[in-house]
Amino acid sequence: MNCRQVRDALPLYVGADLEVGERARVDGHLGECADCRTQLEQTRAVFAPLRALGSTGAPVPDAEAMWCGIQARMGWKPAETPQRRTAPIGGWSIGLRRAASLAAVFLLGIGLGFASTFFPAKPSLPQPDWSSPHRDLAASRPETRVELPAFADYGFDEVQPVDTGSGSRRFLLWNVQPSQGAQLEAREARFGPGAVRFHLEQIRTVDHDDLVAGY
Amino acid sequence: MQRDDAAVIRDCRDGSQDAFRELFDRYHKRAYWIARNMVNRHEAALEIAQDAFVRVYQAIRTFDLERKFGTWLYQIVVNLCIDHLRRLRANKEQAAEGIAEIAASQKGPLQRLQDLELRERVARVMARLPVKYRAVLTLRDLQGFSGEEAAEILKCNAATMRWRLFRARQLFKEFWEKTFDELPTG
Repeated sequence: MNCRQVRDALPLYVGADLEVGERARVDGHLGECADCRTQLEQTRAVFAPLRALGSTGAPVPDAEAMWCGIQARMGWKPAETPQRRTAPIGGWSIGLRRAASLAAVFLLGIGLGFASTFFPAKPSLPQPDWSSPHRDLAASRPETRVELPAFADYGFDEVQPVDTGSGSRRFLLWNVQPSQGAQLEAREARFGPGAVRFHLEQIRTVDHDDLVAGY
Repeated sequence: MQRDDAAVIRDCRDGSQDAFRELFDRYHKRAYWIARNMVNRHEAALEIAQDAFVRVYQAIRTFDLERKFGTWLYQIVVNLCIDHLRRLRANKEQAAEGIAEIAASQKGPLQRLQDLELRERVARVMARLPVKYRAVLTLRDLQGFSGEEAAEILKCNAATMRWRLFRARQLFKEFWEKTFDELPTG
């Protein structure tokens, strides 16, 4: 075997995936060629950490949630969970407890009023029409603009720019809400520090539970 | 002593939810981590693993007890991952999630940080690979299946498997070196 053949074989050699005869021939060459041994070490260095990263056998975050999800999808009744204690609150009488409940509702109402005054509701993003497979927004809302960082306010928890190479940019927006998905296309209008402004051009629903939008 | 899978599957066929839970306990970790390694997102991996178990249950009467249950389940997981990735059309880079929980165990903070960084690097390179190569690297290199097992899961013959593995490693190394090569250039 020459050096080139050996180097071609290294990706399989490092994982012990060569057939026995071929492996022996590579071993023979490596015994005599320092350059190829260096190549081998470099190749090993790339692949060595992969096995450790597979997390085989590591606990699954939310394993119980996974099982509960399976039960729900099967229509199985979940296992009984221990009931919460329902002992009287500090031995209060029924009348006192009712009065306390009314007071709590009253205070909650005041609190909500306060909150809505000082923490107004999120601004409304032009919502995709989830029922329609295609919807061209360019005609109906030519001036719709969206500040990129504002997407966090609409439930998107991750924004990834993707260059399309066609003059426009698309963004993958990952949403915390499952079962809703849309691919949005937009014309880039302006870059600013930490912000990009777009004209919405099209919203297309996609059958996917993670990918929500591409701008 | 643990019952063999065939006995548990027979109980599943009789409608035992406890038996299915037993199968879940035996296989959910591997199913999840295959999906996680392939799609690189916790929520999506969880959903895919769940979906795979539901499909398995729905088809459990048709399962050939001579086969390995794990291979069947992982085939479904890999296929769901491939569908998922194709739907995403995501040969784009996907950032690794906050995956500190993976590196938990008894490692110190520095080691965990290094693990996390390495994971992110691997994920970035994996995301650039075509789906079929990502699948083969996940099974063989990340999850440690033998070549034969990986070929069975991917429903291909040994020669195809070896070719895909060769191309996958070749591309992985090429992308890795292009992206992260820190050696000074001459």
